[in-house]
Amino acid sequence: LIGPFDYTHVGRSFDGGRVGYDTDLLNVTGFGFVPTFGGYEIDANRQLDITLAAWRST
Amino acid sequence: VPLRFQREIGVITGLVGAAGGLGGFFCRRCSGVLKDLTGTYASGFVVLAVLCLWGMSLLVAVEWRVADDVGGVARDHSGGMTAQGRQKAKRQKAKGRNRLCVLGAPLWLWTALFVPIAAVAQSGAPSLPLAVAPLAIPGPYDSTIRLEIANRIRGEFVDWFATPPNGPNPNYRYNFLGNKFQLGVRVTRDPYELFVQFQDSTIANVPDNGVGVGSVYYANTHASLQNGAILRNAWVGTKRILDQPISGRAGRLLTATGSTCRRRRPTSTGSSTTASASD
Repeated sequence: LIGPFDYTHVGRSFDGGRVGYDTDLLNVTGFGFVPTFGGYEIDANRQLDITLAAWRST
Repeated sequence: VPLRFQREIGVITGLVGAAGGLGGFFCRRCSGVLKDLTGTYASGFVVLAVLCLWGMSLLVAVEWRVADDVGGVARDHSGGMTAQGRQKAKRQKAKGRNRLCVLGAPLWLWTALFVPIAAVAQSGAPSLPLAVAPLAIPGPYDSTIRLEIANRIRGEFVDWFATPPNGPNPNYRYNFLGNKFQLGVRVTRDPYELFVQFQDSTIANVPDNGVGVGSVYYANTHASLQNGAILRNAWVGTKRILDQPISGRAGRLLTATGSTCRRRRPTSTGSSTTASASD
């Protein structure tokens, strides 16, 4: 739902970190980010007032 | 789609999706078959160029047919065209020519692109000179320092969502120009990596009364000329921790779901290998 928005002329970045564990049998990814505005707003350095944290495994 | 086809939105959305799906399926299948048949990739590009020319011809035929129909409606009882009908047909033809210029441009561009690609493919050149090799120099501690430069300029000219002159939103403008410049430095020393990237974006001629993407830029900043510089990337990361398949990155970065998964791709021997899908 929230991606790098690269098709716009500005894009979006994420301040935070991610960790992944990846083998042939298992992939686990966890991350915690504060996204920047970006997208259609030229001043993309500002941070959105939300924090994203998730993990996934396959 | 909703602006141009207000009543048929479901049908048109389905047709657009179906066309994309069919193109995505048949184009690569046909390209593969043609490569097998002719032994060169050029044949596939030639077919694509011919298809573009065919689409252009179809567009011309449809536009002039529409113009003739409009003129035909406004005829008098003796079968001759009334003055009003002539004016209407003239306006419609002029509009048709304008739309041809706009809609036909991508077709001509694709044709102009595919023909030289086909020629290069036919000549047996190993690769096309479409990208500049990364600028890399050896750094301290067996590291590699790579300078990465990218610039993307993109114009939004094609008014796919044109509303009729008597529609609910006839006073609009769509076209604008955007440029994105990126300059980055990547330092790698397996398994560690550092990446810092600066980005400057400029958007010009953004419509203040438009529909589509340009008006969204304007809604945020209320300026027709916009420029901004950002730090797009500034992160450190590692592909392994303590020789375990544990990767990590921290700082300002781009991310997408599954970006730490490795792509499984077959090799020529039939076994599988993996490659990092990270950027």
